[in-house]
Amino acid sequence: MARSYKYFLLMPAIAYLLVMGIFPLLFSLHAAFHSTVAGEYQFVFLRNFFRILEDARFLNTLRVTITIMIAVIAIELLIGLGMTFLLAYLKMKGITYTLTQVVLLLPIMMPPIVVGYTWRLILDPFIGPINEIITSMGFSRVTFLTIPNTALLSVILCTVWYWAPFAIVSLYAGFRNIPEELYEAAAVDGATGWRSHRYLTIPLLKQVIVTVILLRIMDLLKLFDIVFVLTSGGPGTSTEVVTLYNYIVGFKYFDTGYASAISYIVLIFSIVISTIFSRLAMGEKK
Amino acid sequence: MKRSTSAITQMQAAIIIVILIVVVAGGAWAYYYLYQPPEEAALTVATMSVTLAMPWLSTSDIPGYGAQYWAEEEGVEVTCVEIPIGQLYDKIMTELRAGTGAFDIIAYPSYWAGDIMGGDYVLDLDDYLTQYADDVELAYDDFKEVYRERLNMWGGDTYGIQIDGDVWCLFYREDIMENATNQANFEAQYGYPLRSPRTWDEYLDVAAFFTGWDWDNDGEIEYGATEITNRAGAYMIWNYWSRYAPAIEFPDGKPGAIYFDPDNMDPLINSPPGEKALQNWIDTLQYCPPGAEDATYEATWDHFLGGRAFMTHQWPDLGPLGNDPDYSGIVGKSGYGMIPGWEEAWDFETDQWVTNGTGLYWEDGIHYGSPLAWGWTASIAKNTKYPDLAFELIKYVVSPEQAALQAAEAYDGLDPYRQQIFDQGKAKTGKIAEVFADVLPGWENYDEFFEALDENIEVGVPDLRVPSAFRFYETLSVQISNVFAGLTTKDTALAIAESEWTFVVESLGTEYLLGLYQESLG
Repeated sequence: MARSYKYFLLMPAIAYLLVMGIFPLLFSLHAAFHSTVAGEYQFVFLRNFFRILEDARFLNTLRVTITIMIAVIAIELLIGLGMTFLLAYLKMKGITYTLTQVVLLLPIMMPPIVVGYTWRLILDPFIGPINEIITSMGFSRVTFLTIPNTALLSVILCTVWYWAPFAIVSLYAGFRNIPEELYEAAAVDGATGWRSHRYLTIPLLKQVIVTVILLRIMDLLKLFDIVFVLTSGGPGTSTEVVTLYNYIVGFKYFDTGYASAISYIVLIFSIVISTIFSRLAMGEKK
Repeated sequence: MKRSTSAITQMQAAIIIVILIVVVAGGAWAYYYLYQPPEEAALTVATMSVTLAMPWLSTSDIPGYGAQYWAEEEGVEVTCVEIPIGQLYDKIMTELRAGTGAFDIIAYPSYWAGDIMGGDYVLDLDDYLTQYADDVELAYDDFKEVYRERLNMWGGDTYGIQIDGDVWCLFYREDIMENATNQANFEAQYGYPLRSPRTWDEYLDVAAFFTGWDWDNDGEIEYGATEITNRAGAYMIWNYWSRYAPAIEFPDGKPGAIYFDPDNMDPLINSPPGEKALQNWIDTLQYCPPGAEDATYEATWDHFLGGRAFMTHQWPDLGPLGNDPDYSGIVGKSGYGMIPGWEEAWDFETDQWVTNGTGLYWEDGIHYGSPLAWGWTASIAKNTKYPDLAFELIKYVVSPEQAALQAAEAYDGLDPYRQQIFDQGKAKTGKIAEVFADVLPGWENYDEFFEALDENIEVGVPDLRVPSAFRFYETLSVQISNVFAGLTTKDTALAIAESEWTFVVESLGTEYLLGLYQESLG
């Protein structure tokens, strides 16, 4: 009686999960095995998945996404660690930095569309402040968003500017959990300054670092808004990320079957990466 | 361990769940059985929104200019759902495919006709046109024939009403072109007089001549041309069609048959005229302001209206915009011309270039063809509850009075489509003369603008009007954009685009699409 009562209480949650989570997942899986281009479902088995392997545009978006992912995460971690050390130093010197923390967090509070537009204006060749400075120094204008390499770099830097505070906050929170006694002991052994960070802080922050990397990978696989506003994937396909292409295939071409197949490939990729990093994190714990 | 006193009992939890179920089920029942639609009729119009990216392109002038006034007069509630232009296609098509009935009236570019009219999502308006045959407000015979007989029709029936007479047009700095020194220097350099370029080769000469020096004495270096090259929304594609269309001797004498072979649906873009058009476009970019490889629509306006570029070719909106002091630094200085042509056109039947042709759109040894690009069309959704009211609203919006106001408004994205508007504009008389004197008093040569639009419409080339037209445009735009970005070559880009077009045709069904393509050609 008590057992069935529990199931009765769980019913709303299960119903919600089925309707909002499982059904769309199963429906998109069903779509991935069908062709919907002609307006009706036709079973095509694995054709959509094989198409992905031959789709040069999709493979390019994967390359672009991974490039952005590696560059962004690397830069964010460097900034995160650098700022953590700086904040630790300021704290040690007894300098108040409440305002600094607030300012550091400002970018992450902005909507991504606003971030994209703001950077588009900043990088504009004619009215952007960066080009104002460049031309006032006697150099030629730089059209950041119209050259493939600089456009990709712009997307990377804009994303870093937006999300670096997350790495800073996470790493600094991790740092504050390290007992001060360890540093005192290390100091007795002669490890101070950079050496204490090299042999103490970074190893003890490893789990936080792995977690930050894991979360950022998940997030960057879904990178869309900033690219959509800043470059729309251009020039050419130089900044076209996988989610933008997925959106175009699904909502511009209305090729729902192929769009679903792309989504599943990205999902599988995401699961593999997250499993690897989760194991890394768990391994550290053991 | 002490149990919390605030924890609810199992019985309380069960009661809460039962209450929740009753409330949700009761609410659904009440909505289904008790809800009555408001007595006042309510129309919902899907249109383009004002966005940060394009604050000026507001076809929300449907309610802005007339609809709200009309609604108040008629006692009808009109809701305008403003959708960002970049999401207009997906939003409208998603609602239509899902049959949500979210919109009563939809405004869309004519090249989506294959999806919307061909998809059987909108009402056949022939009965209304018969009913209002003598109505002075509609005056349907006054619409330009190309819109009335071609763009608004599908399978011999009328499914849309033109609310925007788009055609590609050439804009240049007339004050600079008429300068005697410039005239003399150009003729000395190129051996023929400086004029509105008649061919795309002349266009390159003029662009080259006006690049790299300060021709308007403002202390800045200027450029010869500016062109949309940004791939977003596929707006750039008409800069390709404007070069590609006149390079083709139209298959079966049908200007709209330049995209696919009308006999078998083979793509025609990867061909000598395709290469010729793309090469000319590539050559032009060196004469455009920095960032030419990925210039947005807004950027081209900034360049031309800011006096940074000598000429451009695009939609007619630039006419009123260029003469509105709120937006333009070149009021009264623009000239207007025909989209250049070519001295030869490719004949797909003989696989040869034809010179001095005598067929369609040949004039003085030059073959022309101006894209009838975009062109907002209004249609009534098939599942509307208020078809009569919806038609009344459209009828009001396209009335001669409203059409005259739309022609003079810089930021509405609506261009002339009525013959009487053209006649009055060219003669500087009637309602148009009144409106232009009132709204754009600094624009003296607007008669030349109407003249140029009319000439371009005379050699108009309709958009591709089959289902998934946007997909065809988008895939080609992306490939061309890759060429501009230096990521691929011209030949590879056209070959990839051709294979993607073939794939889409085969996916949709070659026979099915061929039938619709032939139907769309009239």
